[in-house]
Amino acid sequence: MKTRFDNASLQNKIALTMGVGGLLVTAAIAIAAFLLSRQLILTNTRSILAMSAQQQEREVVLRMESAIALARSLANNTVTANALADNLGRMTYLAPLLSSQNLPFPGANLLLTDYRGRVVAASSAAPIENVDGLANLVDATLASGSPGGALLDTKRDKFSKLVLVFPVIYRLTGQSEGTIVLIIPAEHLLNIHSGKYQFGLLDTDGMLISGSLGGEEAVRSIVRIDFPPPLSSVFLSVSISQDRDVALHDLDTLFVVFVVVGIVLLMGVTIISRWAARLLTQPLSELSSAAERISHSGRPESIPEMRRNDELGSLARAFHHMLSRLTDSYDALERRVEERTAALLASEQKLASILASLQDGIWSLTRDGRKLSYISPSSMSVTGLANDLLRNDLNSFFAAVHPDDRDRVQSALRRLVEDGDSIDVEFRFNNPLKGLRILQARAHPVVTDNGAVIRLDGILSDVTQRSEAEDKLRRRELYLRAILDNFPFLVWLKDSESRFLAVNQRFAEAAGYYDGDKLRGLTDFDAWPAKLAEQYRADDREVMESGKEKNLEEPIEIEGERRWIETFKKPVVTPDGHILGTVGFARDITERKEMQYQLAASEERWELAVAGSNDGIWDWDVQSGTLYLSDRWKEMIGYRGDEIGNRYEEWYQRVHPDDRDHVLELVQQHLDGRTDLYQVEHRVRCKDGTYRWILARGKAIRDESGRPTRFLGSHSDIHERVIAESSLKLRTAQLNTIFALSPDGFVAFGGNGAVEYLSAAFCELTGLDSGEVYGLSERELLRLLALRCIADSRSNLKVLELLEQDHENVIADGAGVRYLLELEHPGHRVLEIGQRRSLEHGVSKIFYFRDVTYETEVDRLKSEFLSTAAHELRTPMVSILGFSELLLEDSGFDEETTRELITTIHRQSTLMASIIDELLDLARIEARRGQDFVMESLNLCQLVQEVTKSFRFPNDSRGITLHLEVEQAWIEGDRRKIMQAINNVLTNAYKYSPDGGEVFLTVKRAGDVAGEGYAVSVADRGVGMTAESVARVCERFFRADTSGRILGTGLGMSIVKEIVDLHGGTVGITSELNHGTEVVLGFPAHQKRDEGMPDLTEVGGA
Amino acid sequence: MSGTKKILVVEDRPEIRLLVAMAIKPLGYTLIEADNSETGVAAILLHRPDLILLDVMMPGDINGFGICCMVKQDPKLRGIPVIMMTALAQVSDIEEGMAAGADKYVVKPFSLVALRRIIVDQLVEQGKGSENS
Repeated sequence: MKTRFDNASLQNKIALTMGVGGLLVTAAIAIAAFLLSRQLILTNTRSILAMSAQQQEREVVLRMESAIALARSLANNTVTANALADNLGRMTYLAPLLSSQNLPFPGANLLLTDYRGRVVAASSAAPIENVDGLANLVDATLASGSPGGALLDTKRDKFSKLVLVFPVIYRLTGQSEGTIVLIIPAEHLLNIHSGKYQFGLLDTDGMLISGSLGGEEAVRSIVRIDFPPPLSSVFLSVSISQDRDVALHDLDTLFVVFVVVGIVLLMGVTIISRWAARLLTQPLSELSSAAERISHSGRPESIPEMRRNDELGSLARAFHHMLSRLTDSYDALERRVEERTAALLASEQKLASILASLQDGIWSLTRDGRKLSYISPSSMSVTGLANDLLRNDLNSFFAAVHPDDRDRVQSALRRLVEDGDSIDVEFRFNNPLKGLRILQARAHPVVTDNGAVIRLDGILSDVTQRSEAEDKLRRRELYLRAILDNFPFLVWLKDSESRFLAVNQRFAEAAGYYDGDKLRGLTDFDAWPAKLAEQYRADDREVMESGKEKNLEEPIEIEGERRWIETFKKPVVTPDGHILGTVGFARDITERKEMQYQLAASEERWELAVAGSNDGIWDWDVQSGTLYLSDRWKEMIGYRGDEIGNRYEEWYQRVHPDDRDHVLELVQQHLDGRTDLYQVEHRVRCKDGTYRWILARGKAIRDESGRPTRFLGSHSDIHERVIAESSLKLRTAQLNTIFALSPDGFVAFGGNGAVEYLSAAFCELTGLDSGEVYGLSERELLRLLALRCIADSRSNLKVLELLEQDHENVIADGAGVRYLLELEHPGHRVLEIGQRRSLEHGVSKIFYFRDVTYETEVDRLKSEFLSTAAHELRTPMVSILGFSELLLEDSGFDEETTRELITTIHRQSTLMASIIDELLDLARIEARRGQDFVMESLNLCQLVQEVTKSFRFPNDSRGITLHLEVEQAWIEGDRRKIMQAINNVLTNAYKYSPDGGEVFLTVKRAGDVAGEGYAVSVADRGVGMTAESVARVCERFFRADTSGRILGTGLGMSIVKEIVDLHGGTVGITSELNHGTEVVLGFPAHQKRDEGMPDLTEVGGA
Repeated sequence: MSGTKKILVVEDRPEIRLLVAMAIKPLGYTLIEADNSETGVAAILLHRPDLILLDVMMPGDINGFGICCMVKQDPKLRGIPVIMMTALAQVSDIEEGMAAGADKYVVKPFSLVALRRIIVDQLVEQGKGSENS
């Protein structure tokens, strides 16, 4: 299907596409319209039906109302009532009265009954149908006196009747004298006048009473009838319906018409689309057929121009334009061809006339060389053969060639044909008209641009006469030329005008020509640069004028190189003295010249070197052992020229003995050919016996076998340099040692501002690795240091900032400002940093770092101590000053208060005095570090007893419970100090047990002290301390009591600690708050007990 | 404010508390005493004194500078003049005290006359300040 579509013509494609598109669109619209209208019609029909039903219902109700009014008026009519009373006369007028009533329902019957329900009169003459329940209804009305109504069925058929009963009431009595009965057949209830719809009457159950409901598919509308009273209890509905088919009948008709019209339209569209497609494609097909015609004929032709402005029009115009251009160029081509043809013709004619006038024969062979394509008329005189004969059979030409030459000619022809070579061959030819002649045939292939041979053109000449003369001359010339060409000289022959007559190959090459013949007739100006040529011309002239030969050596530039040329020039003179020209030859003597020159130069240099150099020269003839030493050599070591002979020993014995072996070794190495150059620095003894440093350099001269014949060289005086160098080396080594040993760190920055040197101490101080510091700039180094500083320290940051800013202000000689830097890594350290700018070349700046951690710490402790001490002294001063001031103010204190104030002043003064005492004690102990201790062997037991004996605590009667666990406890120490320590501990024990309790003093062996030892323990049952207080109890001015009740300086335990520490002992404190404290002073045991126990005891007692 | 002015003295040494009490007795102020920093802080919050005399070195978690800082950072307490009363006499200590916001720095030992004058001056100044605000 698809391929069929693809193969269809463009016209058909467009038509088909448009047709199918139209069809689909139309069909879709039609179906949609159909469905929509169907729906609309049904909806519309339903609403019409509903309206009709309502209308019908209203109509029924209206009619019913008029019927009821009629019946009611009849019932109320006095005539009717009177008629009931008149048994006789009533029939005469009642019947006409009833029948004259115009009832709104056809078929309705109006009856009059008497008080018993019997029918007295009827409106219709027809017999009264028997209606079920009528009698009951009438009776009920008679009894109640109110109208009634009901839907009743007749007995005879199933038709329902609507019955209304109205009582006729006698006015005077108010009794019901009878009734008016109105019977309306249900089938007549509806006034059906339209045949379009089916009407039906339905009862309450939806059952059909009359009319019809229409079919199953019918469209239906049902409306209930609202009857007026007394029929209010009767419920009936009106149904109105219409068959769907009937309703849709018009639509179906319309659909058929639509389909028919659609088909017609579709056909129209198809026709139009075909027409449109043709309209679109026709120009294209015209273009394509035109193109096809052109391609078939190969000749452009005009095509009808299209006067359209759309794309096709422009395409056609472009096509047209292209064609007209093509036609133009085609015409131009043809014109040119014609012109060329004419020109060719003209030149051919010209050629023909030239050929005819030539003596030589001109011929052309076909490409394969088998057939003559052309032969000029003049050929006939050369060959003596008819041209037609040759044209028909080329072999007749070869047959005339001399048998000896035939092979040569044929092979030449082969070369011409097969290899495409140009040929020039002479051969003997049997001319039937002229006899044996020598012919020369020259030919060459005619080649097109792309290398294809199209024919072979040649000339055939009769060279019989020329050939004979030339032969001899040529042979002689060849000999001469061979000789000249093989000469190693440039040879030339010039005429009297200096034009070259002949030159040899060498000359030609030197002049830049490859063929000597080409120089013939030319002058020197064509061969050489103008300047040279001029000179040569002058030389020629001179030679010819003088008639003598000339010999000269001259330098010339050849290809940028300087060459020496030796030239001989001689006039050529005829025997009668006439000068014909010049002959000359020249040769290149550059190498010889060069050698001479070099020799002279080297000798000159040597002379210069020896005389002018500042170096001493030596020249050792290795074989003979003589050693030439220049004057300068001798002068260098303080001798005059004549003071030292030319002997090897003169040198040997002056070499410093320490250097001699090394120098000789190097000399030997060089002589053996192991080194290129002999070079050594060594000392040489001077005339005054001192040694000078010289640099010796030399090189051996060797014979063909490589054996050294001479060894020559120089001595340079390098004494000053070596001395300077060695002192510099020494200095550097010293400095390096200083830097390496110095505990201070150094960092030196080079000229480029990068770290060039750093000392080991620096690395140790800062913990930086030398590898990471080398090459850093100052800023980078400071950054690195900043990382190691204590974080968040403002002072550090400030220091680094200052260091960086300050570097401009650091002057070379000034110590500059020193900065302190606090490092956190590798350990807590305080570094003092100084910087120094150097004006020395190569070093821009030096940083030095000094570890001042200890100093700063000591400083800090010192100032802290001072501040604390001042604080502690100021505190009692407050009371002393304050209370005394109070007393002085004399505010009228009573005696008791006054006394109390004075007591306070006294107590605080005492405290202050004891603080000062103890401070001095402590200061003395710390300052002397035990040097003023009088060390002796002491028995702790004895010492303790002494202390207890003398110990008194003010206002306290408690004794000391002494317990000696050992009999003797020998230690070494200062008696007074140890007693002071024990005393202080005992004082504390009393002081801090204000509420009493025993104080224990024990001397015991102390195993826990390193090594053997003894301990004094003092325990109380006092207030005790917290663990924090225990830890701080030995701090200066630390007071365990903060209540102020217990007086103290806070220095007692500090003194104890200092004393015990200086004795190499320990202070142990255990304490429990509110339970007491034990202080244990441990001392190392002293081993000298047997030495002089009695003496010591004696000393102890003193 | 009516009634007598309340002065709080925070000082660990009883004899100095006694001295201060006797010194300012003639001035007629009510004196509240606290013997360490904790009770001092409690007294400040409880009694809202009109002036605080503060020792620096006291047992307890915070020292006088700390209490001073605390008072001066509390908007409700800021107006109370704080007089540091200490034996720390170095320039750096005084600087620290001033940094903590102390109104006056009295170095021990002090003259009672001077102390009285300072107290009165501070109270007068404070009275001005509170009138203005």
